[in-house]
Amino acid sequence: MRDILEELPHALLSDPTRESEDPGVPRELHDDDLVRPAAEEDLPVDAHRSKRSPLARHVEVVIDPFDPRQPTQLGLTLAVEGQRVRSGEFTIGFVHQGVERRAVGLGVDDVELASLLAPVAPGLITQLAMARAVERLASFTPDALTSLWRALAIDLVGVAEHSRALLLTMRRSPRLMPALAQTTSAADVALEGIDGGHRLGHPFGLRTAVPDDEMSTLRRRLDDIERALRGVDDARMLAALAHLKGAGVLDIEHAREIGIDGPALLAAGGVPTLAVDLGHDLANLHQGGAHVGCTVARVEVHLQLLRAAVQRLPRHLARIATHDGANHEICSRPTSLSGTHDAFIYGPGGTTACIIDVQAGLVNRLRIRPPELPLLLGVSRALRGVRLDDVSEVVASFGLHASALDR
Amino acid sequence: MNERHLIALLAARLPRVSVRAGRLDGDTEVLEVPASSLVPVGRFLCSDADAAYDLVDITAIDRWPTTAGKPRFLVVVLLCSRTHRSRARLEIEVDDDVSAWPSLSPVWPAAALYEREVMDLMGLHPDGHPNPRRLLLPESFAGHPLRLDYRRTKHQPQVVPPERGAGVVIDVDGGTS
Repeated sequence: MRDILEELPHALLSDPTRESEDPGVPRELHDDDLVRPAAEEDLPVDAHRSKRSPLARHVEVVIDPFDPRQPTQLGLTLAVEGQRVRSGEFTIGFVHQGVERRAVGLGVDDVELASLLAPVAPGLITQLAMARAVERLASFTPDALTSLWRALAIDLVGVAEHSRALLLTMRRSPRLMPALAQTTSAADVALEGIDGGHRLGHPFGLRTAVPDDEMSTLRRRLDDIERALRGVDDARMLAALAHLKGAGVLDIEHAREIGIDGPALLAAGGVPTLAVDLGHDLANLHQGGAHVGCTVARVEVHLQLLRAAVQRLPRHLARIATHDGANHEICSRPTSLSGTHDAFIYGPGGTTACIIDVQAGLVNRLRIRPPELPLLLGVSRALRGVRLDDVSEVVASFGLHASALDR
Repeated sequence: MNERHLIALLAARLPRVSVRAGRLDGDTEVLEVPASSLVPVGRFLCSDADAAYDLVDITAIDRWPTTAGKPRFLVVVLLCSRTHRSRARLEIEVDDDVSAWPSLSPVWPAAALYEREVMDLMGLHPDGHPNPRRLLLPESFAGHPLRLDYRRTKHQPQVVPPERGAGVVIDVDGGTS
């Protein structure tokens, strides 16, 4: 944000006196309390447009790489008053892959299609959502071993995503970043190893047994994650974010109104969504801490979810190692399916929903909805009244995937 | 909830509202709701303490060209109730010549964006929507690329606002999803 202000020094009408009265604490904005130019003529002139510029009160933030000749894929426009955000609005562009349309006419187990949706949501979550919808369509219950592997994989995704959200939130605290970066990287590596080799997101379960040497490799990866996480000092992180207490609030009423779940809902004091597909138990999580709904609360929730996921990883692996049941034979899958079915997967960012309509074994409609769209609305609301210097932390605490709508 | 809990609940609480059928899809209760009953049914499912459903998603399915005597489109509303740990799916059939259904935005504000997406990509208009504009595609885009009679390989010139530079042509490859 500072970089933007350096590029656009006239973008703000600063009011340092007002800021110094109450640093770090968001205040309510009132129309009679805003710093405005006395008249429209006071606005600076934008040489490119030869008219009075809106830059005096608006800052446009482009989140994704984009071609400057085209509308942005995802942009955030901030209306500012003094040093604070009056409102934030996301602009959705239209650079899309057409994945859902390309699914039409393909077979139901063409999971590679769902993987194209990454990074809409973590790729494995979208694959699993599609896989579960197909399995429900076929009245197919995955065997226990497949469910254990999937639970392990989802927790690995959780470790990667929660630590990534924390890493982005802590970008202004360089001493805290290495451990978070190592945690993120170790989880990514572990996930790539098991997902790439065994296609855990494939409908109808595992296709191959996992060799012993790969299990050994995975154990070492989980050790790497635990070791990296030991360098994450929760107290130091929260202390570094003390200036954000009470900032970036999304309360429970609005979170539910706009359909948010996942960490942002937990931080607002809400009950987590239905985690029935893979049996995650989120009931014992401390929700929101002392500053319900604010940026610090979301960081607290990410930390708790991260640590809970890391604690579950060795338990998953132990159960997989001692599992002695037979896998389903892949040939038992149905050959011709028809109908409409849905499935929900509770991932690290919230619920990913899939609905699939199949006619004679071929996809007629595939829809995978990650939890991104409500989060964009939630960020917009949470940014109101936030100091410009704090915008990046508030946005990062939501764990957004900026390519949310590139489908 | 018990099997077909919602259909019984609706019959008891909203006796004048017709719901065509209720069935179970795994642990999801599916209700086929006439368009005329959608808003009262939605309002009940959202606000009644015995239901308390939150909106998860709204999308639509195009049955073209083999509609088997049914209306061409099926609007699908996914719901979940954290209070009662249950899921529901509302299915609303929409004729091609009508191409409209009642907006659920007054019931669940989160519906607004999903309805814009359905309108944008499938060409079905949510009546009563507070901001019925395209969501993902430019206003100049002709057609609705998720309709199955929209040619997958069709290209359209992208009209770029003057301040962004010269116009370019992008490959929409069947449009967006």
